[in-house]
Amino acid sequence: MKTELIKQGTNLEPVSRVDYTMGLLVRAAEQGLIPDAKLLEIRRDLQNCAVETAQMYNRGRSGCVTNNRLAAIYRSILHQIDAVLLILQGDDAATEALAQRSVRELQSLGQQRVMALFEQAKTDFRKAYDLMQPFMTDFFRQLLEKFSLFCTKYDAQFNADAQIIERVYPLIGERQIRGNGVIGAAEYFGALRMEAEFLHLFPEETVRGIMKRHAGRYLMTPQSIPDSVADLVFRQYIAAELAGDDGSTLQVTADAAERLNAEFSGRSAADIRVAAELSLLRYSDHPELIAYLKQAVPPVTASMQSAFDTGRLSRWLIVTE
Amino acid sequence: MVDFSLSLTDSFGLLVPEEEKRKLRATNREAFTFYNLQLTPDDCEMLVQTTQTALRENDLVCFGETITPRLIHWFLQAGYFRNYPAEIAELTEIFYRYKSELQEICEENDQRSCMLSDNAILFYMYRFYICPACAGDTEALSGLMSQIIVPAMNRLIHRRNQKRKANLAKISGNERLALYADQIAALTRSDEDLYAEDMDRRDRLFRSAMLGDTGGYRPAEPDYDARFADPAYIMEDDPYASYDDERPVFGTFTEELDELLSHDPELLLPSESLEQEWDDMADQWAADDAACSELYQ
Repeated sequence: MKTELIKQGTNLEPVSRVDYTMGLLVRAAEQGLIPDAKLLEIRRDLQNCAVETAQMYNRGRSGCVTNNRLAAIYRSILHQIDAVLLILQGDDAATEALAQRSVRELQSLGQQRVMALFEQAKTDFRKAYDLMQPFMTDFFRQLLEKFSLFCTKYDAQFNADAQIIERVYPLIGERQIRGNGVIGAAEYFGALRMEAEFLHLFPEETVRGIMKRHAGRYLMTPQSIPDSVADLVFRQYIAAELAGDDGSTLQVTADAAERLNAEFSGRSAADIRVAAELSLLRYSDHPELIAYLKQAVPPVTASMQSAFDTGRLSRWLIVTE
Repeated sequence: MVDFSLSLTDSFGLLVPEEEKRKLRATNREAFTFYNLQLTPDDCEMLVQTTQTALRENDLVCFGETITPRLIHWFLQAGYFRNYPAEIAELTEIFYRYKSELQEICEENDQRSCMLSDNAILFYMYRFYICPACAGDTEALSGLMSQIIVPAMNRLIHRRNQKRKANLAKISGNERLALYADQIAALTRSDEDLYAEDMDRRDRLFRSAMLGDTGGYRPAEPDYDARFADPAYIMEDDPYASYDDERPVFGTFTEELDELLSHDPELLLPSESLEQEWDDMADQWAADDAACSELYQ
């Protein structure tokens, strides 16, 4: 049955997670992964879902909507379906779900998933905000204003992909979250929560000391630094570990910086990455955090390597006396 | 290959011209029997094209039946038609123009609860159409929609936005309140909710203000008297009232409506029970037309 409905899409470029469903449908149409008859059925079902949603939007008391509203309704439906298909962790599985399940069923599951993500996003931000209290910066605090709007104004039914949150606070390794709507918000707030938990692996005073020294370089207060505090701390941790010291102290002396330079400046990016990933094993009792930090290792080690190449390692990290 | 890259809105269109023409012809039963008016097949063709153009020009997408058959039933009773098909076409254009304008005001401000239903827009159009200031003049009707209803909608949205901002300001200074804004909103009933809950009073006010005597326009409802005769009563009772010491003006329907909506734009929104009556009325017309349209199959 499966092979009748869908051809395997292996060896194809991965589909972008932003506008995922539409990306899958376009790819399926181009590559012939789903038969045309089924694609037409999907298109018709999407249209029917849009009509029903538009009727609900008008509370059944108007027979028309503006073009902008209809486009928003379509984006909302597709976002709900995105929320379900992204769980499947694979383009082939997601394409198969599109071929096997009805649009209505996927949308219904998607609505539940969007609501769950909404609740998860709120819980994650609240936890992150509380955990960040000892390390609060003005940039992090700015998130609160939009968060209260997100809490009260997010419309999971008619405007599910609305971008209410401005991601003004950076993440480790300048990680970019491109997902829109509640999917992006949940990912961003989840990342903030994880990074706040990471900071609490270290003594508060040590982290605050890092913030103070970093701010001192630029003649500003620790509260006004625009960088991610977790990124500063992560750099210190990796550098100390790679220099052969105890990363949990977050201390990198001038000697340690020299050792680090001598050991890794000529090594390949892959070598540095492997060594950095190994250093995370100290926190193997936090598997979710390790998995998150592992994703941050490539950009952070790449910027470390760039610091080696340009001789700016002492600016890349904070050297302690 | 099925093209999924095109905008889905481009392929959206449930307006079936033949079906629309049949519905329009079905209105001839009432129009001819009671008013000696009727639409020819060419008139129906013209009206369908007018509707399609009006929808396109006003950036609207129709997903159900178009407004014209219902509009005909609303306006027939006025007895003002001189050039029946052309005037129906003008009224259709006016409907979609203001539908689009009012809907955009609500959407831009994220105030879905302020959207006027199709019947509510038809109601206001009809009330203007039959008032002495218009007496069947569609251009004058359009002018009154623009002078009274659109500003009233802007005022309504402005008030609700102010209320929303005030509520946000209350929590923005307090981190804990801002963090749990959704839970606080769920616990705190806004004035909007309180106003909506007061259905009986609102229904009575709307009916007395909007459906009163069309000539002198001075409804005798006690609530109306209390509302307009004694500013102190209003200040105490109406969360949105911002009356100064000026006394209400009793004049033509349009003057009084403008006055009323200036003071209390919430009254722009009809009560739920009135909407239900209009829905029932429109359903009845549609059922009668459907029975009649079988003759035109």
